[in-house]
This record gives sequence, C-alpha cells and structure tokens, in this order.
Amino acid sequence: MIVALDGDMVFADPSLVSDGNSLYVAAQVVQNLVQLQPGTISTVIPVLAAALPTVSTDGLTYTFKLRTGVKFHDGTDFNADAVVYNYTRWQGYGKGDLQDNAYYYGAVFGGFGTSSNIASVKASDASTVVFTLKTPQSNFLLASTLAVFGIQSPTALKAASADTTPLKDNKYAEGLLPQGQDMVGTGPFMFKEWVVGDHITLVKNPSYWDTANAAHLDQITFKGMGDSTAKLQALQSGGVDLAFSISPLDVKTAQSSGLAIIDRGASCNQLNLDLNQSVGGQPTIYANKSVRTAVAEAVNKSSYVDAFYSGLGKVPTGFMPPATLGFKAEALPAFDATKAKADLTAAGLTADQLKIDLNYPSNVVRPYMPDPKGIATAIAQDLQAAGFTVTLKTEDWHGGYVSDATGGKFSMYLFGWTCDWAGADNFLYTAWFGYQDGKPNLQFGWKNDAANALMLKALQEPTVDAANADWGQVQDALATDMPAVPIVNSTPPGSMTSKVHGFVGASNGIEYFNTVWLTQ
Amino acid sequence: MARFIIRRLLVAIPVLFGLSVILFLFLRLLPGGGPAEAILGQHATPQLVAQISATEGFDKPLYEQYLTYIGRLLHGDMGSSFIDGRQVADTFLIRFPGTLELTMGAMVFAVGLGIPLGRLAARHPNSWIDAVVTVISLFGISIPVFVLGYTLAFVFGVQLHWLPTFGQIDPRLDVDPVTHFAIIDAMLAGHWYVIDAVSHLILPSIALGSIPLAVFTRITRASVIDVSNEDYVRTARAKGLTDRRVNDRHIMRNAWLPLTTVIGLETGALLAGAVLTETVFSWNGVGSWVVTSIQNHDFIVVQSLVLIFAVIFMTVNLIVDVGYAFLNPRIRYS
Amino acid sequence: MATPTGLAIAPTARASRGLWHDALRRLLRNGPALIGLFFITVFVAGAILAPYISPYDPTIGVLSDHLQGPSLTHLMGTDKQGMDEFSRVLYGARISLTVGVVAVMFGLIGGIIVGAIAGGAGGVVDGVLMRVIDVLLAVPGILLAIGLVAWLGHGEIQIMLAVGISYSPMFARLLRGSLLAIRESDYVIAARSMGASPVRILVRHMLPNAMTPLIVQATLAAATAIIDVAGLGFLGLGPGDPRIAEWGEMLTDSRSFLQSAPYLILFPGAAIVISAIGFNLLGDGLREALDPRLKR
Repeated sequence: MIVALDGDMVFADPSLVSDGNSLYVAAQVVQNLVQLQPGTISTVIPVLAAALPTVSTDGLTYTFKLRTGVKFHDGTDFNADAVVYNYTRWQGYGKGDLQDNAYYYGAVFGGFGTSSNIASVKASDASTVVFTLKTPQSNFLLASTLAVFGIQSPTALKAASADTTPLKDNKYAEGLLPQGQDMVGTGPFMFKEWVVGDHITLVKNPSYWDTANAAHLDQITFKGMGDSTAKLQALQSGGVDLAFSISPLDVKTAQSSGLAIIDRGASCNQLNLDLNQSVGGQPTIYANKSVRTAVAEAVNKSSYVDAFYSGLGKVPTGFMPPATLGFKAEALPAFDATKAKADLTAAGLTADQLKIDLNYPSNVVRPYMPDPKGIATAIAQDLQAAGFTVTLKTEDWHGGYVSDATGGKFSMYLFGWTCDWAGADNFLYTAWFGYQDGKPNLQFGWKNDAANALMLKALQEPTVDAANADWGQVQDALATDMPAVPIVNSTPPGSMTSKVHGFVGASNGIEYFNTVWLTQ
Repeated sequence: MARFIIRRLLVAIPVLFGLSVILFLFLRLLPGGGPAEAILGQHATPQLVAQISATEGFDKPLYEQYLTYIGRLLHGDMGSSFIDGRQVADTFLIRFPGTLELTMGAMVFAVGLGIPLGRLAARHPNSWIDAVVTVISLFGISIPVFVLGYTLAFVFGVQLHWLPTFGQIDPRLDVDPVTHFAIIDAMLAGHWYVIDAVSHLILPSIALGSIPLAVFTRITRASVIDVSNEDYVRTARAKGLTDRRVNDRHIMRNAWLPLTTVIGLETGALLAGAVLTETVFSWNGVGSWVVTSIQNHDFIVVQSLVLIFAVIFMTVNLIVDVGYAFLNPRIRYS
Repeated sequence: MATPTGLAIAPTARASRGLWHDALRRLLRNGPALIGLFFITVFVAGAILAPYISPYDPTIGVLSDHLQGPSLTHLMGTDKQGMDEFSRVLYGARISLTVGVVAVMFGLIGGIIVGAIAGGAGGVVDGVLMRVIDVLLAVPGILLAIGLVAWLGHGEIQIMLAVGISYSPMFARLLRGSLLAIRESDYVIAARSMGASPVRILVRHMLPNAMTPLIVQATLAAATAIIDVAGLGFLGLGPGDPRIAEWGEMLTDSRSFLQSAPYLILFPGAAIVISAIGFNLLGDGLREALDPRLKR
C-alpha cells in the first residue's frame, strides 16, 4: 500500500519530532502507555499500560500498571525499566540540537532537566511505573497520548548512542540504521527503510503482542508529496492508495472519479482572524471593542466554509473546536453586514483609521487553512463592504510569518491551530491567550488578568473536571472581549481509492493502519 | 590548451570565494529570522526562537559565523541542515542523481526531437512545414512547465493509465537505492524493473525538455541552412553525392558545432529549471530540495548547494569551450 | 528558470541608417514576425482598453457565484473567488506584459553596464567580470528570484527586479562578445588612431553597433519573462495582493481546477502562451531582419 503524506519525515526518532508527517509514521511503529481511541480525539485508552493509571487525590502521583509479554521489534522485552529509560532520556536531553528539536517534552512538562515538572519516574516492580509530579498537571493524561512519547527499545537506543549524539552524526535519528535497529518500538508495523526525500517503508510486525489487532498489510510505503494536484492525480491514476490530505477544492473532482473522502469525524482545529489590540506598544483600532464586534459581524464565515472547505467544516460556536475537552459554547456575533456597517460607523473611526492591513501566510497549507490567499481575499472583500479599506499583505509561513504573528507585529492576521492534544489548555493557553513572561501575549495584546489567572489555575487543577470548570469561565471572558474572530473548525479531507478498507479517520492527524486491508 | 584550462581554473578560485561571502551575507541578513522558526513551525514563539538561535549560534557576530563555515568547508565539510540535521553532502548524493537523470531525460527528448524537427524545417524553409515546426517548438517554450506537466500527467496518467504520474520508481518494488539513479538501481535489481524506472522518467522529461526543444530546433534549422550554402557542400552536391550523404556527412557534422555549445549551456539551465518539474512530479531531486531549504531559511544547505551548482556550471562551461576547440580547429585559445 | 532561447547572432560590423531601413523593410515582409506583432498588439490593446471593455471590476468577486462556467454573463466564467475571468484576463495583460517588459529592461540595464565595462576594458577586468558572470549564470535564476523576494517582500516591483537581475548576466555576456568582435574593426581602430578617448569610442562607436543582438535577445527574453513570472507565482512568490489580476497567478490559483473547471486554466494559459509566442516570433523576425545572412 502506498500512502501519500504532505511531506517527508524529519527524524526517525519520534521523541525529536514535532511535524505531522513524522508523527503519522511514528504512530504505526512506536506505542505509548496510553493513546487515543482510534477515530476519536479525546478518548484515552491504555495501550502499553494494562489500564488507565491510578491518580493520587492531590494529582501528583500517577501509577501505571504495564502489559506483560510485550516485546520490542528487536526482540527485547518491554517493561517498567524501558519506560523509565525513555522518560529519563527525554528529560535528560542536554542543551543542543536534540533539546531544540524535542519541542513537545519541553512544552508539556515545562522544560528539561530540573525544570521538568516530572519529579521522578520509578519502576516499583517489573510491570509498574510511578510518575511523581512537582505540581498537579491537569493535561498530564491527554498529553501523554502524543506520539512523541512513544516507548522505544532501550537496547537499540543505547547501541546507537541516540541519547547524546548531535543530529549530524546521529544515525538513529537520521534513520540510517538497518531494520531492527532504528525506530524500534512495539507497534503493529516495523520500520524498514527511509530514502530521504522520497519514501519510508514499514513492514508488518509478525509477532505483534495484540494478536487480535495485528496488521493485515504486509507493507506500507509513505511517500511525501507536497503538491496537491500531483496527489490528486496520483490517487486517480492508482499510483497512490490513500492520501493523508487533499485540497478541499479537489473534493468534488475526487468524488466524481470514484475516490472516497476520508471521514475525519469531529474537528480538532480552528482558524481565527486575530485582532491585535496593541502593536509596538501602541493601541490599534482593535483596542476599541465595537470595532472588534464590527469585524466579527462583517465576515461571512459560512460562505468561506462552502467556498474553500467544500463544506467540510463548521462555523465555530466558541474559541476552540466543540469536541475539545473543556469546550463551552458561546454566543458569538453572527454574520450581519448591515449591523457591521452600523457598528463600524458608531465606532467613529477616521477615514485614515479605516485603512487596515490584513496579513495572510504564503507557501503554506494548514489543515484549518487550505487556501490562505483565497480566504484572505474573501475576508478582505467582506471587510471592504463594511466600510474598511483593506490592504492584503503576505509573508512566507516559515520566512517570518509565524514569528511576526506571535511576536506581535501584525494587527489583523489569519492564524489558527491544529490540536496537539484535544484539551482546552492546548488551544486557549499554549496556542493563543496565555500571558508570556507575565505580560499579555503579543499576538493579541489582550489584557485580562483575571482570565489569565484562571488559566494558570486550570492548568494546575488535580482533576480534569475541576480544570474544565475554570476553562469554561475563561471562554466566557473571551466571548465578552472577542480578542479574535473565530472563522472555521474544519475537518480536513483526505482521500482513498475504493480498494482501501478498514481505515478509521481522525482529525488530530493520528490514524492507524493495522486495521486497513486492500482489495484488488 | 593546457594553459587555457589552468588559467580558467585559477580564476575560478577567487570567484567562488567571493560568491561564498556574498551568499553568506545574503542569506544571513534575510529578514524573517533564522531556521529556528522552521524547526518550530506553528510553535514558533519569540522565546523559543531566541533560545534555539542561541544554542545554534545564530546570535554570534557574522564574521565569526562565516569563518566557522568556510573553515569547515575547506576541510571538506559542507555543513549540515538545521532542519533535519543531515550532512549536506549525504543528502546531495541521494538527491542529485535524480536531478541528473531528469536533466538527461529532458536533453534526450529535446535533442532527439529538436534535431529532426530542425532538419525537417531546414529542408523546406519558409514553407508550411517550417511554420508548423516553429509553432510546435515555440509552444513548448511558451507554456508554463507546471501547466504542461499537470496536463501530461492528467492525459497519460489519469485518463489513459499509460504512465505513472509521480516519483522515480514504484516504491513497492524491491529496488535497493545503491546509486540513487533510479534506472541504474533498477537494472541492478533485475526483474526488468528498469522498465518501470524508464516509464517514470518519460512524462517529466517531456515537460522539462519542452523548454530547450525550441532552441535545438531553431539552431539545427539555422545551421543546416547556413552550412547548406557553403561552397564545400555545393561542391559535394555538384560531385553528385546524394542529398542524404551530403546531409549526414557534411551538414550535420558542422551543425554540431553550435549545438554543442548550446547543449552545454542548456544542461546547466535545465538543472535549475528542474525545480518546477520536480515539484509537479514529486521527483526526489535537488531542485525541490533547494527551494524548500530557502523557504525554511536553512542557510547552510542553500549556501553549499549554490556553491556546488556554481562549480558544476563552471565545469560544464569549461568542457564545452574545450570541446568546441576540438570540434573546430580554427578556434585557438590563447 | 529557462534561459531565453536563441543564439547570439554574429554582430554586424557596421550599422547605418540604410541598414536599419533595410531591416525594417525586411521585418515588414516577414509573415511570422507580423503575426507575432499582431498578437502583442492585441494584448497591449486589451491592456489599455481594459477599463472600458471589461464587464466587471476584476478585483471584486461574488463568492456565491464562484466557479461558474463560461456564459453570456461571464464570457470566460468566474474563478474560485467569484471574480469575472474575462475582466481578469484583460486586466491581467496590464500586469503580466508590464512585468515581463520591465523585468527585461532591468536585465538589459544591468547587462549593458557590466557587458560594456568588460567588453570595453578587456584584459584582466574582462576576465574577472566574465568569471563572475559565469557564477551568476550558475546560480539558478529562480533561486535568485526566491532570495530577492524573501529580501524585499512580495510585490510586482520585486518580481520585475528578481527576474530582471537573473537575466543580466546573459545580456552582459552577449554584449561583451559583440564588443570584443568590434574592438579590432577598422573604424574603431581608426577612431582610436584619431585620439578619441576610450570611453568615447565605447559609447559613440562600439555600443551602437553591438546593440542589435541585444535587441533581438531582449524581445525573446520578454517571452521568457512572462513565463518565469508565472513560475514564481507557482512557487508562491506572486504579487502580494491576490486581488490584482496577473496571468501566472491566475493560472497557479486554478491548478486544482484542471479537471473540474478547465476554462480557468485555458484562458490565462492561452494568454500566456499566445503572448509568449508573439514575442518569440517577433524576436526571430527581428533577428532575421537585422542579420540578413540568416534569411535565405
């Protein structure tokens, strides 16, 4: 089977990656203590753990009972020591390029070494691991499902010195070692080879521990294909069996040529039109709440969903996708061109102030933003109708757009997020609204100390339920203040030929191929 | 001749050195920051960017960074990518064969079709045949290569199912990437896999080869017409040699002179022109690599690749000049 | 990025009013060249008359009317933003032709300066400059263009500069070749012996006579420039404001519709191909007109 990804993998060591392509491949090979139920974005199930962990009432101690009889692809045993080895390894990444690339460990646990929120990971017996945290962490369980926290064979890691070797000589991370010595996990597929820039081949694990869910396919090849038209044609000509993503603009063409569109269930992303209230220390026109409301009313979100997402999306009802843990629906301003015009007039801006810039990124397609240029053009037109004069500006996504957006250089811009894990904290705090260094996030210039305090409180609640009550209040504050205008929650389309069966889609970018089979 | 070659080589050294300085400054002073953003992607916050720039040394004075770079380069270390940590030399050896294969495929197409077309046109100058040939060759150069590429893939891949639309070889075949030339690797693997590799090469070669096609057609036509009017060809005809003999023995031999120059020049241009074709056909070559590297601000990769391109191009030019001298003894290099 | 096609033609040794007159006469008798001129004229006329003949504002779309096929209301259909394709093709002629021509101008200016210095000075200066040109030719034009856009931001001027600069080395090399050929010609030697300053000889005697191959090449380059600009659009380096109609950008934005709405590829594609063929035919005609040896 050939699967088209959006690009090549970056590293064969999952603990070092933060891009979707690498994680997608890694999820077939390495497994975590807990993972998400396939096809869902927030139902946590035990995988290498025998059951969900028991948590102490103070929220500081998580005890995992492990499965027994599980073996790594190199034949060595999976056990509590292996878990401890992996967690210690990540925490111990020293300053240098390994640590630079291990984004998720740092982001989830607050840093490396002594900065990590994990006080200790201990094997209390061969099949029990106890995590002790410094402060309670309400996202601990959900974040533990990230594929970067997959457990790899300590024997293979040690043999390749994968824990300390800088990347340019790190054969394990570069995927150069022979089969059985590289990307050694416990999953239904085993890593076979990686031809850089071209393809990655996985083969069936013949002695997978979960015999009922062993892989049907003997082999999968992942091929990076950046160009959406090339992907569509490859599907149509039968050269590719499944494409992780296709352009929503191609959905109708794909369907009419007999291809199936992958059902990705609930959305796990959101595109916003961000309004920065303060650029370079100076208040912008968006510091005026009636201007923000006018913008929110001026944009005809559902028309964008139809035109640019082929209807595979919904107009948001809050500040994150509805399936996220802790979501609370809010009454957001609906599209109303007349009201927008009236509100804008009432705001009393001068003709000069009505001249605004709208920034959109180039050279990028995100799941929530399949056509940044097209969406920006349509938004600009709606804003013009409300009385603004809009200049469209663009920068390359990698060439400064992200850092200029997060660094507070733009006043109005398109920005969104695909969930790392489907928790309120991931959208509201990590991605967007949390204060940085004690000051309002430069992205928004949104000052609301009470909301920020609530977010910090939520993060440290001992239980998820307690946290979600806090997150609900944060979302109320957001709906009142409207620091950003939610545009869409999309379910990004993928496509497959009629030969592919048993595939279960999910919108968070992790899908498993052990259930997949092909017919002629 | 030897002195000429040596002199050219001597001049090349300071030029390459200068290029490395300019390139270095050009890339390092690019607005939009360093590759830290590319490593971080959607997670790029000012704090993390600053932290990574510090560990990678992007905050050191520029001259210091340059000296480090050039020092390593002189020791044969072309550096490694900030994004995937791989050494540029390693990735180059994997990806360059693909581009070379594509370029040669395109050349074969362009020369193979361009010369007959040019001769055809020259045999009937200013006739409707001439006009049709002109239009065909101009169409190739006038259509953006991505439009032609997609259209070819759609017609021959999607509609007719004759040819594959992407990649160098079916990745399901058990072909070991030994040389990274898909055709050679396929031959080594046996089982007639080479047919698969060649079929992958056809559409991209046509798409890319359409660009120089017009040049070869035009030059062949012009030189054939030119040479046909030379005295010695007239003499040959007068001696009663058949048109065919005259054509093969005298005209084409002389027409090869300008063709050689242009084949050399166009090969260099094609290496670069492969950028778009590689994207359209998901071809694992250096063209697409260098474009992503620029977009990712992966300085070292871009820098080393451009230097490699420069060396290749200068070498091709030198070979062409020398070859030209051999083909045409009237030219002397002093 | 493709290099403009064509051979450097052998420079004519001496230009005179009579030669130019003859050339014009030959050009006007050259069928293909006239066809090329006709194509270009049609597009230039379309560009000039766009405000008067285009039925819609090319920058305003009706999203709910997007992707409609050609009809009487929308002669060439509507694009994915609901903008009228016919109006955009007309207005696109303005940007695309201007960008193509101005880019070549930039290239010519750069090329003439460098080429004149190298060809005029000769010797060491020439040797070094030519190796620099070699290197510049070795840096693929498209990379240079990407780099420049990264530096200067997205916009039409940036694209013109980027494409223009990538053409300069070619023009420089061409001019230098012609100049070297003329250096030892009778009338230059005569001027030199009469004590004219080297600069004066270069500007008054040599440059005018060396320009003919450049004019031909520039015409051919205009065709390539239009296509190269389209290629930049494909790589996401088009003008920053997508509402501005530009053929290459229109083509790139429509590549998803090759199957579902092929007219969105067909019309801007045809505009590019026809205008490029126009410049090519005109260029060939000019070459033959200016160098009668080629025309048999």
